[in-house]
Amino acid sequence: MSLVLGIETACDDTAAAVVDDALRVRSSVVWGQQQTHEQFNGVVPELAARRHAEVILRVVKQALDEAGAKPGDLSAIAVNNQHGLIRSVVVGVAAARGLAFARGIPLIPLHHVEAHVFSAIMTDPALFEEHICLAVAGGHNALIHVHSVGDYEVIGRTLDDSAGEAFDKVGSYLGLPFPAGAQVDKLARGGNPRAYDFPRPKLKDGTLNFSFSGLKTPVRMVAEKLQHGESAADVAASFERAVVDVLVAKAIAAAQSRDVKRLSVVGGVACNTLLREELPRAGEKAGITVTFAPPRLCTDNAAMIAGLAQYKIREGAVGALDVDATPNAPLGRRNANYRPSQTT
Amino acid sequence: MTLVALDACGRYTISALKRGDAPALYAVSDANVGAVRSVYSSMDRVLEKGEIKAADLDAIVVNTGPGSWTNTRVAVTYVAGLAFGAEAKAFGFSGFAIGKAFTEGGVAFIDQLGKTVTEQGAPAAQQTIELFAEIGADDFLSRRQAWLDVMLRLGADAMASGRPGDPVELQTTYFQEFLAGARNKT
Repeated sequence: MSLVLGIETACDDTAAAVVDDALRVRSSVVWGQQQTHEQFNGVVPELAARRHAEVILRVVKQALDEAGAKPGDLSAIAVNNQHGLIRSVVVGVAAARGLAFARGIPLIPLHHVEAHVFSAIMTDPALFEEHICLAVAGGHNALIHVHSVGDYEVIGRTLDDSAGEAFDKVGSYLGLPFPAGAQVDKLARGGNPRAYDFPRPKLKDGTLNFSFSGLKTPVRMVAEKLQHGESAADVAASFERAVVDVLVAKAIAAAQSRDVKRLSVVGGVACNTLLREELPRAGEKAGITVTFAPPRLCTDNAAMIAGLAQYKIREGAVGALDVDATPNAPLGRRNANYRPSQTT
Repeated sequence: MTLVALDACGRYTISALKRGDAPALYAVSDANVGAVRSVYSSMDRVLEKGEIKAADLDAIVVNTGPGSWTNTRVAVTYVAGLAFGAEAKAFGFSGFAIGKAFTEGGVAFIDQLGKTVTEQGAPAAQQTIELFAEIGADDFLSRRQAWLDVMLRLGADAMASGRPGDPVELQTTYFQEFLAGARNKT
């Protein structure tokens, strides 16, 4: 039995997980930093890095303990080194490199967004085949043509804010604690989605790109008037409806433009209740099968990192110890983000 | 006993290896290679010089600051991971603690912004160390070898006194409050 330890520190979650070669998640530990960043309504990179450094080894130890494993039982270490906040990413890379070097085992460097894409594949083997992935979270928002695992074509992306970022900002306008995405979702359940006709940015521009920055201002203007009697739930529901309308329309258009019949949805916003209702419905009408990553794998986690590493090892990846943090790496065609080389 | 000392607080990452009674070996990182590569290249080189593996280490000593926040944080995290994986002990000492063992009266540091960093509440330091002196890697290392010797000695003392040296507990030390006076953005 081969066990891989995954480490993930892209933003403000410190995560470690152990996944076996059957892609079973033996443990998955996520230590969040919400309390640290709540007062700033956003992630402060230097503080995020400090918290990562404080807890990373504790999180790793807990993941090993929960998996009933010791460092000597691991066959490889995997780490996100290609996406996120540079100060946060280097902490994960340093811990992973130290562990791998000490044990004399391969270090598998991976792309955070690729791991998110794989989080759906891990739970639906049909997605090993060609499909479109809607990756939507706080730090990324893209439509990816997944030709196969390791071969990606980004066919749409946000031109400014991600949907997850817009959810968090709107939550702050409504007085909800950061990160507010899940709270907006909860609040929206009791609101009228037709109360406000917020814009659907780039809905009919004929591209697969997104833009959510312009949506924030009208929502903010309405939110500021709430003292005159409007309902916060109505604002949340109307905003959510606008975002979901755009995500659904663009995702279906992406699949149709590539004549692909499968669609996956990954990232934190994939937990959104309305998106989980509307996209499968639209997919059914269009003859497209929609798969959402399970909620435990939607937000940042290390199980997706370790799982992707297991797959890559099975496909012949041997890892490398000469690894650095390159957090703006592109997600490209034919393994452009991953070059197997000899362990040194 | 086999010990390694690592200091990434300045312009270069420097390291020293001490194995039993043999003379210490020293190594320095390349310049401008980024925090992660700087740290592991220095460590890799000193282990290579000593022809030993990480698993042979009994303990690793690391300077926990003051100095470059990112480099120091990476060094501390790297040492924690390495020690955890190698089942070795890990000991962190602040630059001020090392300085007190280095010279009577302690040290102050000049950081990358040219500011003098002193230990709060301590008497005036007897010596000032410029962490980001614009000199070559070899010169930097030769100026700091005695410093690394002190770190090795502190590590040996910690081992002898039975300090736990749990890598999971290893922490960076910050001597300036990052958010002092920061505006609350709410």
